[in-house]
Amino acid sequence: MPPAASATDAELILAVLERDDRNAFAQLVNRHQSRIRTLLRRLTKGDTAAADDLAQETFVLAWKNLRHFRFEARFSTWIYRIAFNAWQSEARKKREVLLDDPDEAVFVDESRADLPDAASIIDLGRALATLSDGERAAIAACYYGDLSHEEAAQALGIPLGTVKTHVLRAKAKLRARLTGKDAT
Amino acid sequence: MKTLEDLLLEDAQAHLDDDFFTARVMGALPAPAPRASWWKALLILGSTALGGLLAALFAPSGTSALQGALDLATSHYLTPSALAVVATAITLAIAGAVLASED
Repeated sequence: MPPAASATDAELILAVLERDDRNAFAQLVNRHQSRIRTLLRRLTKGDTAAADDLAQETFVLAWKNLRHFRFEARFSTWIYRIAFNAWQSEARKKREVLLDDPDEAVFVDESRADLPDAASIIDLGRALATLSDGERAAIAACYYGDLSHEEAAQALGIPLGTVKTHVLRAKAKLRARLTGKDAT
Repeated sequence: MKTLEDLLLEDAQAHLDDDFFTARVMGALPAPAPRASWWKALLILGSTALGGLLAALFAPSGTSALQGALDLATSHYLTPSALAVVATAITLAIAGAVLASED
């Protein structure tokens, strides 16, 4: 019997583990594909083809490692970690990825201040692409991956303080870009 | 007016249509693992044993596995009993080899 559309992630995972139920896994993929693909699109600076390849790799890895999933964690958190690892490993093949670049400058969080009306998602995408790897990864983890700072630090393998600094600095840079106050 | 926080959340929560992505992932999954083959082994060995039993039932009188073993032990390889024992042994060996190669 196929799993109900209202089945929870945990029920679908159990169906896969107990009955090798591919329909249940297809439901999990369908449920999480949008956020994983968006996350990877941001991490790959808007390269949709590369992002979808990585998203596919992420779900295939999830399938192969599903028996290691611990039910106390959310499936989304677990799969975001796989997505980050896939992105980092792919990026390292091409160049060095610096997630822990030190920068002592202090930034004030102005992310709740108003942006100009004209600021759009497209502008945001462009602005995100100008961030460093570490800043983009931290923003992607905390906003697109819906992870807490602690979870993001664990997923990215960098200290908690670095995640917080990256997020603050990234938001300051994004705001500067979107308000046209960026000198670069 | 929107804040950066709003814009980030809006972008993160924007829904991307599946556009066959799920089908693509499902197509890339490893092939299903072969089902447990104990029933297959039972079928092959069972049919071999049944064949041996039928052969023994319809064999000429005086033919038996014991007689075949004795004939083989005394180097009488071409008696009906010895040939039946050799044929049964070869059949079982082939069935075993087939099962082993599938594992």
